[in-house]
Amino acid sequence: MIIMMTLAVCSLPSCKKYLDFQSPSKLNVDQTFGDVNNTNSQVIGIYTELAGSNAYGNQLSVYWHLGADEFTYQGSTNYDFGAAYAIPNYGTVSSNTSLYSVFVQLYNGIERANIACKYIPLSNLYTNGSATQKAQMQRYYGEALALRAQFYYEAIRNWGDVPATFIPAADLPSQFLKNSNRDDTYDRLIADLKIAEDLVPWRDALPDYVDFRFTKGAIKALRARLALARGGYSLRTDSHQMERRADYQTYYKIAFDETNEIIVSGKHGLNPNYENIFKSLHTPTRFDDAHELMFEVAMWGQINDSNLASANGIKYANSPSWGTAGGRQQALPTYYYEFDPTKDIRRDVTLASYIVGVDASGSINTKMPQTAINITCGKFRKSWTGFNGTVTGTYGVNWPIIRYADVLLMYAEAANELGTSGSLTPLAALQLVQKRAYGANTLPVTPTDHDGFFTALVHERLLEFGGEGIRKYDLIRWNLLAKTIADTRAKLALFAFGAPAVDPVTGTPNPYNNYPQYVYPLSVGSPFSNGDSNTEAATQIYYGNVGPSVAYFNPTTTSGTPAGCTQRYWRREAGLWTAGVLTSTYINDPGTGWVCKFEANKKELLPYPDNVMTENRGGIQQNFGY
Amino acid sequence: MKKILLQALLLFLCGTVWAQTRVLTGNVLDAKDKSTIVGATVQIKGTTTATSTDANGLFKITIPTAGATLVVKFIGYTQTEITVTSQKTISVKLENDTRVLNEVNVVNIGYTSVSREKLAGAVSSIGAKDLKDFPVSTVAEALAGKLAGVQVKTSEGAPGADIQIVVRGGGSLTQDNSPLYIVDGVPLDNALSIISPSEIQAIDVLKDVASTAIYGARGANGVVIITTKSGKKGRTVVQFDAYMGARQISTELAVLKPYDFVNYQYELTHLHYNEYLVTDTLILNSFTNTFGPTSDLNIYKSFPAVDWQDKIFGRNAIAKTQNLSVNGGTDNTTYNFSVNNTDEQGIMLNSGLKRTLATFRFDNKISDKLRLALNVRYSRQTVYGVGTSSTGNLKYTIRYQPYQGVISFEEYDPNAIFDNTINLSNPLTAALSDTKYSYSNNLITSAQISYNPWKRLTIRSIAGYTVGDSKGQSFSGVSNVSVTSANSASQYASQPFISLSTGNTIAINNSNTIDYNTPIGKYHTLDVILGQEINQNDGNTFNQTIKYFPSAVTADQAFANVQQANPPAGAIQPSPTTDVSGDRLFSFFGRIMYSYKSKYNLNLLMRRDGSTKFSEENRWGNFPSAQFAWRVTEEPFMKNLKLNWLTNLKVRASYGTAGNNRVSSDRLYQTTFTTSATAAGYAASDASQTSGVYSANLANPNLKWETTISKDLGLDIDFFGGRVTLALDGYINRTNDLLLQTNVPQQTGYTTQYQNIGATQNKGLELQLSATVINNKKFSWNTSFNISTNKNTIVALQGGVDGYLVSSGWGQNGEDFKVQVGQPVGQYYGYVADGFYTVDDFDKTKSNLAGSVFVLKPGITNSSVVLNQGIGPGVLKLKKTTTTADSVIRTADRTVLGNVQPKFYGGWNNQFSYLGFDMSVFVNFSYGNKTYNANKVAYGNVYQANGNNILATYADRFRRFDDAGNIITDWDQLATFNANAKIYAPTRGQPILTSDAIEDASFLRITNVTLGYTIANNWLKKTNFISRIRIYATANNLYTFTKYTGYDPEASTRRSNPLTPGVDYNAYPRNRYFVGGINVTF
Repeated sequence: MIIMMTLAVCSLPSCKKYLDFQSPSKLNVDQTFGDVNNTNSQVIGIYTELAGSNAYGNQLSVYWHLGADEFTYQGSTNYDFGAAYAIPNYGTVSSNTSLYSVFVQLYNGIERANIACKYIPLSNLYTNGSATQKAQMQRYYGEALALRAQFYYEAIRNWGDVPATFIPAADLPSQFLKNSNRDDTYDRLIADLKIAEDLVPWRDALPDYVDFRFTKGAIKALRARLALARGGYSLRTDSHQMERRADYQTYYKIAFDETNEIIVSGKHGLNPNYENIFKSLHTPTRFDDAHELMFEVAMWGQINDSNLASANGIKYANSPSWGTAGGRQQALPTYYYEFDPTKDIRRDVTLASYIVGVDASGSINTKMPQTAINITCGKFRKSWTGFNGTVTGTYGVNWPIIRYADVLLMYAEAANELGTSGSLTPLAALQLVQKRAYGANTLPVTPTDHDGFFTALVHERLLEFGGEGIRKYDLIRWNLLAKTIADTRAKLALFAFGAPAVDPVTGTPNPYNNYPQYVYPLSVGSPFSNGDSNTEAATQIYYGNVGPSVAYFNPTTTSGTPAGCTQRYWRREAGLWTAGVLTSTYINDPGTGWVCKFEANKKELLPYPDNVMTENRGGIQQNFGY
Repeated sequence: MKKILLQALLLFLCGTVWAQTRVLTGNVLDAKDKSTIVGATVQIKGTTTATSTDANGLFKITIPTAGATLVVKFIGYTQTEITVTSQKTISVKLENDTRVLNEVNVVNIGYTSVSREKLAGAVSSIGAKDLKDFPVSTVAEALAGKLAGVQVKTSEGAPGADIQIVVRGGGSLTQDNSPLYIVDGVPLDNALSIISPSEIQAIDVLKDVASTAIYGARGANGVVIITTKSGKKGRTVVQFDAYMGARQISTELAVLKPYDFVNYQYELTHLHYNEYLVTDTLILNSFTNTFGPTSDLNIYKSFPAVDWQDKIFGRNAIAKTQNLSVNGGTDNTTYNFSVNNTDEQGIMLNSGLKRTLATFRFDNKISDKLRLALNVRYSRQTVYGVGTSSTGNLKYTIRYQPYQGVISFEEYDPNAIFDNTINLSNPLTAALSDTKYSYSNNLITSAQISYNPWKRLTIRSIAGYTVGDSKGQSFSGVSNVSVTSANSASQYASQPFISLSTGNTIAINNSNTIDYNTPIGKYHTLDVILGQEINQNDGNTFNQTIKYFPSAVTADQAFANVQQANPPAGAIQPSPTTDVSGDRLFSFFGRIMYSYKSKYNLNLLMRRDGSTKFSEENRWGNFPSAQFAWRVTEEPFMKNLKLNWLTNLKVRASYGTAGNNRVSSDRLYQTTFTTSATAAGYAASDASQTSGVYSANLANPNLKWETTISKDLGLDIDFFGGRVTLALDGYINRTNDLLLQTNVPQQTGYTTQYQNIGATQNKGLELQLSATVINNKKFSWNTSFNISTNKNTIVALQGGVDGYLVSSGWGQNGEDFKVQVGQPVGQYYGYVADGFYTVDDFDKTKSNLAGSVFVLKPGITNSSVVLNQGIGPGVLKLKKTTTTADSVIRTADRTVLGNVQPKFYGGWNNQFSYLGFDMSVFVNFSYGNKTYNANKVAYGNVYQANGNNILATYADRFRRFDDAGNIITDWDQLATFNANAKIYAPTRGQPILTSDAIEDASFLRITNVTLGYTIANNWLKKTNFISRIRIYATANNLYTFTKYTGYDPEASTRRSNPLTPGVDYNAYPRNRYFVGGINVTF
């Protein structure tokens, strides 16, 4: 009787309505995707996961991509597998908490994108809205697809065969996913990006265009980048070898087509001033009218912020104008010498060989030269931000994901690989990038045969993108990581003081033979005026009233520290050869040595975090070697 | 012959009753203590003529001139008949009815009451009498240990701290296991903190699910029914009760004295955590810069030690309470008004609580058929003080340098050796400058109307409307380490900040019942209730943090003028946040109670609940129950046995089901989106940030009711006419489809999800024994004892897993709890400590003390990986529990170290009275429970805490340096020097849980001792103003017998996750409380 009564009463609509409570603080699916602005807010929520400490705000931009022939973050004598330096030195373990934090954040982003990718196309506005509404909803859908591809790309290049899911987690028949073949995942993402690029307009067709959201150009460039990764080498789960698939040229073709279309479109160009690209990342003022920065992750307001220029970048030490900042992440001394010393303007933008601080005489804001292994990345500098000396913390510096120079060089690479030409010859594309770097100077001669051109391109990308999180992954997809590490270690050994004048392996002269053991900058530093990078670098004064172009490129001319000067270790800093034996903790120490834990065909991928292994209850296979 | 004459005379007199009457006056007295009895009924036998005694126990009645037989009745006394012949005045003495006194006659079983003899469920009750001798500030404190199967745990000693009540173990793993509180028919969440103990008439705790089932979902964890005192018919009675007391910290944790402290700092500075000697002069100089040259360290021996715990927690915290109540009424209207005012200090400086409660209860008989009751309750409470767990205050008192002046570790020290944080504030400055206020105002109103159209039918409607307003203010000044430390400089720019919050809640409850109660024939009775109920909760909150106040601002200035906060260039103020939440419950229920001669009692119940928490398909839950009670002593065969000692024997059996819907939010079954600047914000343009929306919870469309099935078998026995009563209950509660916030694979994009998974079981036995041991004119002794045992078991977990690990997250490295099928909740999980490495553990041929090279002998376990530090003599050694080739301890070597569940627990209460004196002694106990002494781990560890003090036990640690500060380089010398070492050197990596921290926390607590004296009535009568005065003194938490070394064996500070109970970390220390008071009745 009671049941009958309750059933009778509860078939009443009022009872049903009474129990259909929803907090007005929240939006349901219909409210979210039934409105263009709310949909935009949801897409904003996907972008969030790119920023902050566990993504491109810190882990992925300051640490994870290190370990190639440009920048390093050396370990410690008491090497800690869980420390921040463990990942850059290829020696981490699955319990490292940053592995977990990044993994979780990337998949948070994927889930948010999966939600958008399901519900936007299902929404009424998407199919039946006004033309404007439809266009907006399509754009958001395209952005969500692109964002998802970016998150997966980051996950795959670090972990390999990560589990892939393309539907909202609430719809999953089982939450326990297994590893997905990365080739299949890439194929899906490349197909997705094809859809996306047709939904999202070029930058100038977006009324509210800013550089911080995906545009057609950026999506195309991302598609090219993913295609090159798909067509490149990676450490395979089955063979435990670095391999690429036989059909790699298919993907080079995709990269070629996409980059060619971007070039043809003319919507993006090279910023004539290399330094201005990076300056634009630091302030609300843009110095990038050519729109070379095609997509960057916007950081802001100590909320979803970055440690760029705060952790890494030029080091400021108690400078009254800029306080204390930067210094994390150092360039290899050999990287400094990869640049053409007289022609390439990129070197002094990319590398800062000085600290800005208070010198021995008490002068403030002076440049005090660093030792050879403490050169910092000059693409990030607190003095470019609007934050003054008293402010510590984070400065809202953006992280560049794709710039037009990369499009040109990807084009050149793909065209060279396919032996074809589109709107430009591969050489012309390469030289566009070089021309900006060399200015009025003559360009170096580039061989045009496949291998010779490829070697030149590998080198050009090293010079162009140092510190931008690209190099290590380039080397991996070219299967050059192990070789480059070995080569660079050999170069470092030659750089160490007292090295043989002739490379004992190759028989060629030691390229660093003429460089000094120590350098002697004046104790009274030269003022730092936050000016043009090349000028700032050139105005450092060393013993004998010479600049770095002399001091770093000629043997030490004095014995002992001259009066009024300070001694800075240079080649001696990297190590010392005695009786044909190299002593160097910097190069060879099992704890502090450069990329000391690298092992080929093993450490190209990171281990899955412990918690992920636990929660998947055996569904996910740990990467080989961990 | 004489008798016959008398009868004849009476007959004669009766015959003349119509003609002649006269007035008889008299009084009614207690036969034992001769006190007057107010309100006793005096009736002429066989007539309706009756009166009652007035406030002085006097009565006047018109009787036939010749006399009459009077029947005198009063509750709690044996009915007495007395024959009046020619007397003009008469004195009636009533004897105590012991049986009645020892029994709570009527038990509230939800929506109605039954006599205890018919009760078929497991219900524990206490009355006002049990509460009156406990001048405590909350009802929960008074309840502790009184009821079998009811665990009352005060997790901290802070004023206004949460009190956790768990009935029969609690079935849910991650849900709130607190019972449902029903106050005068209306559910009230925070009942225990809103009701003053003096207002309470009775508390009935429904324990078996079949009993609680009438309340449906919300009753699955037991129902506590509180009935407040209503007004009494008669003249107005005013009662005043005042008491005052002082609290004191009951235990302190000993820390190193100045010299030992400096000596220990020397060791930290000179020995690297990887066991080699530090040679970096910068670091070594940092020691001398801070503490002075090594040769002068003896100075610290004469330094006066500062006991920061005493400075912060050592005061006599005064608590004052006044309680005034007025009650009275007429035949048709009764009322009760009371005001309670409490002002108590916390033992911690700058902390305390102020509370005013006012209650008005009004009962009105509009007509014979219609009754109305109104209840209005207002409470205003301010809790102030920063507390210990969320801020670092307890840490500061323990960690801060044990002397004053000389140096200060307050700020970031660039010379710090291992990491960049000292992170300590001067505890005194921190306690005095930082402030936190929590204000709450609650207005609770209810109206109850009942209508009896016919005698057997009652229609009742209760409506409750509760409004709560809360406001929080907290201030963190520059002395606060989170403001100034280098780690958070970017967040706060070293400037003070405040947090403001407000919250409003509105709860509406309405229940309507029809109750039909009828005898059928001579022996059968039937009571049918049908009802419908709604429960509606709405709440909203507002929170804002305002940063960047001028450094010199005081808390009050900051609260009063927030506009002075001025963000530095490039920084912004955090956005305020608001949230609206709510839930609805729509229910139907019915109960049929059948009784045959009160001998067989059968109850059938059904409840159907609909909740907004679940999707339309899973919204409704049906929860049927049945109860049966058999009063064996009513059977003829028992009566024939003529067992005089056995007054009553009742057997009870019940089967019940109940649901639980307590999940944190509405619509967890659907994907919903929340706005957030932090979790979903992006700087889509460079000059500002846009807030976005995101899905905060992984939706689970299959979410449904959690169901508890309970079987209970009980026995109620009264001996010797009720002088001794015994209640014995055994039960098995099994909870299925647990609503659990479980970990999910991270590639879902979430780390947890609410799911219905697994099952738990609680099996237990409860015994409650009460006895009136002695009851004579001068001396009485009542005692009651209860003991319970509960075995909690996790029966199943999600997807067939048989266990997973959980981190309590107080700061330790890795998980420290294991949830495991077949085991109880609250298993501590960690490494087995095995003393420390001695010199004999090392291969001396390969090791070198001077060069600090240490090679362990083969087979000696190596704990360096999990300790995250080097291994050398004196380092904590761990036991290997797995077999690997290399003897290295790894996370796999963790094992279950014990659990929080007691083997049994209970209480023993004794009340004595001797003439005007009364005394009660209350003891409660728990045996076999273990507590996770996280303070011991945290404060015996150096991790990132250079310059910090540690526990005094480490004065006897293994040392590598001799008294002159030289490293000992000879193995034998090292062994001799440390011959008396009792403990390893403090660990240097992030702390880990080892078996050393899992302590036996069995305890026997003298919870309360009260001594009172009531001034005799005769003497007071002369004042004609005051009728009773009682003065008393009480000691609460007088002494605890325990082996536990922390502040309190019952501490549990990581309770937000029910899977991690029993962690004693930074709990506000428990205190001892002495109270004296006076109670006056006018």
